[in-house]
Order: sequence, then structure tokens, then C-alpha cells
Amino acid sequence: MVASLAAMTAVASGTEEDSLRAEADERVAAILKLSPDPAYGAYLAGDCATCHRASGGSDGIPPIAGLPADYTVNALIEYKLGIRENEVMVVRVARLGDAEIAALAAHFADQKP
Amino acid sequence: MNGLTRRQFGLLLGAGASTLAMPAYLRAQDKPRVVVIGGGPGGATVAKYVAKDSAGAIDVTLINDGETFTTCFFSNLYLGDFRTFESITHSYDQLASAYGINKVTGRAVSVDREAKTVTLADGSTVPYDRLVLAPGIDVIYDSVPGYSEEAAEIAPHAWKAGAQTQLLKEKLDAVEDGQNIVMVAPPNPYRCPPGPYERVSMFAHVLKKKGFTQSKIFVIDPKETFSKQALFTEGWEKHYPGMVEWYGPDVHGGLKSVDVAAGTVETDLDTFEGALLNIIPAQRAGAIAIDAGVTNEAGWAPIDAGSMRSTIDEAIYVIGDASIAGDMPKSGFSANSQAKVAALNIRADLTDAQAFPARYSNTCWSLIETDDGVKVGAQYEPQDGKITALDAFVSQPGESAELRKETYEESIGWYSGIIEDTFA
Repeated sequence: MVASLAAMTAVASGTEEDSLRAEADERVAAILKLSPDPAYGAYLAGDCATCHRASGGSDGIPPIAGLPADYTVNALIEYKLGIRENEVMVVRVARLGDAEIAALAAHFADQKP
Repeated sequence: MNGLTRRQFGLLLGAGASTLAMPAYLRAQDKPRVVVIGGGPGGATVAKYVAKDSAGAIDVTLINDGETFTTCFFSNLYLGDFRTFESITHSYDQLASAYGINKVTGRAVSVDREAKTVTLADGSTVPYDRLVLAPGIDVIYDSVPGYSEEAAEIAPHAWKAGAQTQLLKEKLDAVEDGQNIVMVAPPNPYRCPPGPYERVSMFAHVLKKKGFTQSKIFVIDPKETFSKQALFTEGWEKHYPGMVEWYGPDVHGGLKSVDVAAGTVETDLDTFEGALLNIIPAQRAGAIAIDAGVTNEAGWAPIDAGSMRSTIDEAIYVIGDASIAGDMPKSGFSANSQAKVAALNIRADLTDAQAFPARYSNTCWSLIETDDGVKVGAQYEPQDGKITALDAFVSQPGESAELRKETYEESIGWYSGIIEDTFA
């Protein structure tokens, strides 16, 4: 009984993970189809620059300048869906819509660290 | 001006009328002028972002009374021997060389809002089209009976980083086992809500590291509760058992006076004696904001939540600790965030830049003991005319040592980040 419950839980969480991943992939694909506004991206990126250094240097916080857009969009969606955990980032992305995420990702893809 | 001299241009428009008829950005020079008073995380950031993003279309002058700036944030880590003083002190050289910002070293003493000029202590004047006031805080010495500017040379407040911080460090290092430290904490609102309690932690860290067992740290607080209280209280019990005693107003009954020469802090409950007194008085906006007449009766500057523009003078923006920023705490992070909203709105004011809706953020990290870092933060937007916290988080008691170490390392990364964002 205990063993089968445990097995069921494992299956359930596996399914949950799979469906979260599918949801993330779907949202990432949709966002990557948008045409981002560079001026908006530059403004929004100011919020990131307090911690993520524009020069790309890092000590304790990862660099993000120059990351490909699909990587950034995926990371931000993962914070939104709880796949990635960091309290600061979870709060930062909470009010970012698709247009904002697309604009930020395009902005950082353009940066040369 | 295409071949016309300025004088001819004026004559064409009709003598006398020219100054009034010309848009502000054509007056006296071709570019609109932004003047920023205060070179901290608010002022230096707004100067940088206006200069950088306007790509030479706006003339930016940054007035600060020092050649360098020592950050208040991480100054507690200097007290605790985690940072050197040099590592928290920064120059303006890159702002001048990389973005063409005119750095003026001097003290701004008055603002003529009619003439739109700033007067410096040496008598020189600087004209502006938009003025940003980022003067930080001033301490109100006489809010603590017996305390004064002179007394601060014996019992430092060290709430403006610099010589006061070094004096406090010197006195902290001179404390001997069995001698006590008394901190008088400030009433709300004040710069850096968790700051006094992080400082207490750093005091305790230094005493503990020296192997002291007889010294105590007393905190006389005018507030019933304080920022990250559960986290600090837990940390003090865990790392410094029996060393820190915090007294809220319901216990000490009210602060009566301090005597810095005798080293005493008198309350209704008792008289506390310390070899080191750290008196942190009540605060208000830096003097220049009050002198400019853009503050309220409590000494803080009301602003428009969507732009950081003064609600009293539309040619002036007030950012950072001096402003009334709704739910945002007075912190270096907040000032840096507000600076970017102000910079965008100033560019939209003076050039064809597009303004976007304001978004603000803040995180305050604090260090309790080596590798034991905690944080509190939020995201903010204007709502009903006020900067409002919409999503927030705070570290929890009982977190793993691994997570606390990560949080501390994150704070180190943030410090490098905000310094680059502000000064480079």
C-alpha cells in the first residue's frame, strides 16, 4: 500500500513536471514570435542592471549580457512557473508580460559583454 | 543655428522677446541642461542614464561635494572587517570620461527656482532646464536630547558614510572585553531600515572574533518593531548568545537624554553605559531639498509616483532617500531604481524619447554573521498615486546554512552590479 502510494505520487509529480515543461515551451515559442520594441527593452533592462553587470562580469550573480533570446525567455518563464527558484527573480518577473519578456530578451541578446 | 549668430537670431525674433519666445533648450546653448545635486546611487545613476541614453543630446552636470563617494550600503561590512574602506569608496572618473558628464565638486547651497539656477558654496551658479535633487538624508541631531554635531565626533552616528564611518570603526576596534556598546536606533522613516540591526550584528561579530565574553550591546529603539526582526533576533541568539539586548519603547519607557562625554544613555527604565555610543538620530531630506522648498512639513519631498517629478515644481525631480516614495524603503537600491524612472521621464521631457510606465524594484540584503545573509525585497508600480508594493519576499527564520551563504554571495554580486550601474 505504502509502496504503491509512493509510486503514484512519483507518477503524479512526473506528470506535473512534464505538463509544466510543456506549458513553458509553449509560452517561450509564442514570445519568440513577437516583435520586441528595442527602446522598451533598453528601459526595462535598467531594472536588471542593478545586479547583472552590463560588462558581463560576475561574482555571486550570473552575467546575462549577450545571452541568446531563447535562453533568456525560457529562464524568465521558468521563474514565472516556479521551475526556477530565486526569490528576487520570482518577484522581478511576476509583473512582466509577454511583450516585456520579449523586449528584455532581445535587448540582452544584442549586448556585447 | 545654420550661419545665423545667436545675436542675429535674437534680432530676427525681436529684441527682448527672444529669451521668452525661444524654447528652453535653445536658450544660452543648444542643448537642454540637466543638473543633478548629489552623487550617490540616485544622483550618479540618473546622471549616467540621462547622459548615456540621450547620446549627447542633453548636457548633464553632476554636483557632489566630494571627489569620491563612499556607499552607506556595505559600510556595516567594513565595520565587521568583511570589506576595506577603499572597496566601498568610488570615483566619478568614468562617468566623466565615458559619458561626458560635467562633474562639479562643490556644495550646492541654494536653488533659485524662478531663475532655474543652482548656487554653490563658492558663489558660482549653474543654470538648469531640469534639476534632479538626490541629496540623501540629513540627521536631525537635536531629535536626541543631548546630541549635537559636535557630540557626533565622540559618539558617531555614521549614518552618512565617510569620516563618521571610519570614526565608528576606530572606536569599535578600541572596545575592550567587559566594555559595552549602546546604540540609539532611529525612528521611522529613515535610511536603510535593516541597517541598524545589521550594524549590531557586525559589532557583535567583531567582539566575538576577539573572544570577548563580558561585553554587551544594548539597543535603545524608539520603534515597537523593526525590519527583519525575526531574522535578526534568531541570528543574535544563534551566533552571539547573551551579547545583544534590544529594548523597545514599551520596555525602556522612552529615551530621556544622552551624555556622550560620560558615555551614558538615559531612559525611563535605566541608564545604559557604553565605551562606545552609536547615536542614530531622526532624519529628513538633505538640506538642499528643504531649502529649495520642495519638501513637506515632515521634511521629505512629495513626488509623482509615475515619474519621480516633484509635485511642487515641475522642473525638479527628487529621487532616493529625500523623496516620499510610497512603499519603497529608503535604500541605495531604491534610489538607483528611481533614478532610471526619472532619467527616462527627463529624456521624454527634453527630447523625443518615449516614456514607458514606471516600474521600481528594491532588495535589501543584510549580513548577520559570516556566510549568514538574509534579504527582503519587492517590486513596485504606481497605484492610486502612490508607489505601491505589488510582490514581495523576505528570508525566513530557520533557513539552511547553504541558502544563507548563497544569499550572502548574491549580495556581493549585487554590490558589484550596483556600483558598475552607478559609477561606470
